[in-house]
Amino acid sequence: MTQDPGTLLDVEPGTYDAISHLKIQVVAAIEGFLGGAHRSLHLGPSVEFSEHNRYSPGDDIRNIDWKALARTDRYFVKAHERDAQLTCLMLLDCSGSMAYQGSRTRFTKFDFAKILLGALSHLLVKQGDSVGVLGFAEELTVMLPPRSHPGHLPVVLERLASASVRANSQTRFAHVLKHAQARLGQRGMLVLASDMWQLDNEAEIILKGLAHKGHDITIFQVHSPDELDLPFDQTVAFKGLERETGVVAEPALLRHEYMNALKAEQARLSLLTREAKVDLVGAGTAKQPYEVLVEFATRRSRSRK
Amino acid sequence: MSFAAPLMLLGLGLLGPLFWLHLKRRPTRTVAFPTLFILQRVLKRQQKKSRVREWVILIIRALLVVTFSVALARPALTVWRPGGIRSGLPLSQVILLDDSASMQRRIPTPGQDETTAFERARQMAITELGRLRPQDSVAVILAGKPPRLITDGLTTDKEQVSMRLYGLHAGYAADAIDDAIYKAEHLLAKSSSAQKEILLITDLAGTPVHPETMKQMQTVFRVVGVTPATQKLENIAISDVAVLPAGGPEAREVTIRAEIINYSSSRQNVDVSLSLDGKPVARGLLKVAPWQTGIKDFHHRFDEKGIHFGQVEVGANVGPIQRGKRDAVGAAAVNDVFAVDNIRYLATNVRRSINVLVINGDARPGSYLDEAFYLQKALETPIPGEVPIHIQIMEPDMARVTPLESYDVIFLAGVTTLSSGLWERLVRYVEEGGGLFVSAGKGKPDENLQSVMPGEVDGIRKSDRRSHLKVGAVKLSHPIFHTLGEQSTGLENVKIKNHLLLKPNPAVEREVLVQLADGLPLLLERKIGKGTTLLLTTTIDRDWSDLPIRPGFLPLIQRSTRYLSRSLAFREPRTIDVGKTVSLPVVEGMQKLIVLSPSKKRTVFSANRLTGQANIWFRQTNRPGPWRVFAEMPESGGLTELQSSAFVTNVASSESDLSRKMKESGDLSRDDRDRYTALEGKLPVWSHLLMVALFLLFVETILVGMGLRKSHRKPIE
Repeated sequence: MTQDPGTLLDVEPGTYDAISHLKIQVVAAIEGFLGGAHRSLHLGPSVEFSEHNRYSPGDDIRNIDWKALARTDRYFVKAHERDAQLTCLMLLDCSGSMAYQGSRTRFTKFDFAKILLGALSHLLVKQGDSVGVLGFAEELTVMLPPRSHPGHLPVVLERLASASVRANSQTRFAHVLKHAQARLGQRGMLVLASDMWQLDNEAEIILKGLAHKGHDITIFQVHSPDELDLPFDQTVAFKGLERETGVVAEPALLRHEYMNALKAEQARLSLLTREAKVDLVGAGTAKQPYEVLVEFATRRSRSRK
Repeated sequence: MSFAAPLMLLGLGLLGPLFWLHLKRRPTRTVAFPTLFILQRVLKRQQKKSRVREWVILIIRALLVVTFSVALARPALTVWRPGGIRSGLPLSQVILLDDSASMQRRIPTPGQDETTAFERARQMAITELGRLRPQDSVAVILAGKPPRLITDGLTTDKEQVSMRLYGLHAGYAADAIDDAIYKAEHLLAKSSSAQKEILLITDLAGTPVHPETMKQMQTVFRVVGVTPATQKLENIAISDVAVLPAGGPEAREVTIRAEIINYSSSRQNVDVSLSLDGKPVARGLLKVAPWQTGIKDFHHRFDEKGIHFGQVEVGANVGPIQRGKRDAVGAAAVNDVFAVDNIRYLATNVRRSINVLVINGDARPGSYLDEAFYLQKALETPIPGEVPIHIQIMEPDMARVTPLESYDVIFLAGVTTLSSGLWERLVRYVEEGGGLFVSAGKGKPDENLQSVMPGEVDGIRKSDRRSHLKVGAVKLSHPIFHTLGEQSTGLENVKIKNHLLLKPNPAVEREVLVQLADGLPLLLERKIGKGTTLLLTTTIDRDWSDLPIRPGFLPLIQRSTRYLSRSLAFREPRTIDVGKTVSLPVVEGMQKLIVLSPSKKRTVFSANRLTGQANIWFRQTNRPGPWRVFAEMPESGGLTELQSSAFVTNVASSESDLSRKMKESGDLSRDDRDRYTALEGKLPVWSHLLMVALFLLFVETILVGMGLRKSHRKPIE
């Protein structure tokens, strides 16, 4: 579904309202040069007190907490966290499998992902973070470098809206993650909206590497409810969306095994993200995109506390 | 298994669509699905299991269709159980009691009075009746020829059947087991009893049951023998008696030939005697080797014409030849257990032969060119049972001085001219009742000859070599031809080149017996006074036709001769086996026909039964001996004996062989409890099948549900 960028967030009434008051909190410290709403790894002039440290020669005496000296007769210096600007890359899966809609949802997985990423971009740009977009399938299909100025948001939304699914194309996670690694350079935020099927070993390694470097990685696993419960009856000829060979099967008989296999696949992905400290957010298309965002933000705020 | 609603079995046709749907399953829709790789993985893992499951379900569904269809057809099983036929449902039993002549054999019983095979069989039948239950029905058929039902069909009144059995005796006829079985089957077919049985009580001799009869039999069939297998069977039997002409012009000299069979293991010296017309006339001894046939000839000359009855008898003093006394009758005579075949009846009709004079007007040296040659060959050929024909051939000159009255028939063969003297004598001969047969000569006959012929000759029709005429219509109703019926006359292929042409003359009473293909007469008859003249318009030799070499020539000449001599109605008395049917000819106007049995019992056929009948079938030939036939004709005013209808009956020679020819299949003296099963009834099994179908439906539901139950939609957490 290709939409006008200006109306991307208006697809679902209330989406914008629902998410406008949220602040996306990033747990990991973000190293950045520009002041922003996020905590920096460097202490500096900020309103947000961080901790007391024992004074040592060379410290700026302006930071000595005189009140603490009075109480304890010891020299402490006050350390303040400095707000940092966040660089976020939105990775949008444009492979064939994202074109699936199903009978029980109003969105294709791809449209759902676009709305999700658009809304998130809106929030981030609003709080002064820079946002870039990478669309990918087998190759990169959309590429927008991160910017933070307010005029960048329409561009982001326009790029997201104009992105389209590459029919019959597969997903090359490794390729796009390498690009993202190069783009981020330092610690930043990586938001990946994909169904995450067929994540290969190379991609897993790169993902772990990115996480290890301290990038805040969030995966929105976009899936249709049909993929979870295989709701079809009678004999169905299944056709692949990413060049797989079609099969004829009776879903009613396979459902149990299918769900088990899917569960195993999901467990593997969960284990990977847990090990890599990657935030995996389930984004079922049966929900509204804002619900997913609310859930995500809520989880983030909890984890920060 | 039987079905109450067999049309429901058409439901089995659903198997076809069922298999088709299973094996040619088509997807109902196509879905482009993102997680196809997982589906592929699952499918690969489940392929074998899924295939087995599919086949199991298919088989169960097929069984479901079969059991439902069969159940709806309401099947019932025929249920048998051990314990004998008298322990199940009601039984209908037909007892075939062999009353053939061989059942008159004696069965020596040590320490008891001697009994016959039939008496023993009768006792067995009565015992069998006693074993039947009140609800069982029974019929008794006597299996001698012809089979007779002695009860009023199948009845439950065993007392009455027993009473009737007590009054029975063995007959003299041959057995007719096959016919009796058919009769019993017919009787049982009307019975609604669940169990049916045919029980044959016999001496196991005689004609075995034909395999085809056994094959077609619908009911249980048991054969029980009455004679002990160890009994030593010795029998001397007269198997045949024939009366043969001894030759000569008179048929009064005969040879009476008797065939005697020695059914014993020792050489026997048999005393054979001949009685004729109630008086013993000859006697002699005959040596017969064991299991061999001996022939005894008696030569006899009858003094009087007419029918004579007689009998050949094997004397009571029969015995083995003893060493040193070759012709003496031994003291240890053979134990002849079957005396009925020791006597055999005969009958003969003594009549002088037919004298025929052939006047050969065209005698030639080459015999095949001579008409008399062909006539002689045709007339002298003996016909069994017919009066012999004696022929004399002479030329016309010789005939002039020969007295004609001693001849029954005169043939004018190739004669074209008749002297006045011979003509006058011939005319007188015919007018007084003689028979004259005229065949064409090489030229036109003179006036004298034409005056005794059936027509005046107009000329001779001559055909060229290539063309010839064929025989057309034959008057089959004429006595000469009527016995042929629809059979061929043998004249169809006769080729006639030349023949006499007769002038039409309505004043002459003549009858055309055989026509040529173009309608001209070939054989004509004319009555002159008391006599008859036949004219053949072609020659008897091969000059004008090939008639003498055609198959119809001999019967034509023989029957014409017998017709002219009024001997066609003559026949030798018939000799038949007891029990066979005899055809008695009926003459128009016959008021009464009486058959007198050997025991002087009269069977009367009244005019009502005789009117419009050509023959009467007489079936009561129940004992051996001479049978005489009398008729009351309007012109005679009283009873006249029909000698040609007389006959004698004898015991069939097959009855004399007392050895076992049938196999016994059951012994009434034993308890058949363990040997037979009883029909318990028809067990309806459709309800059981419905239960099976429901069970199959349950299993099918479980099998299908097992996959579905596991696969119910449950969200992945």
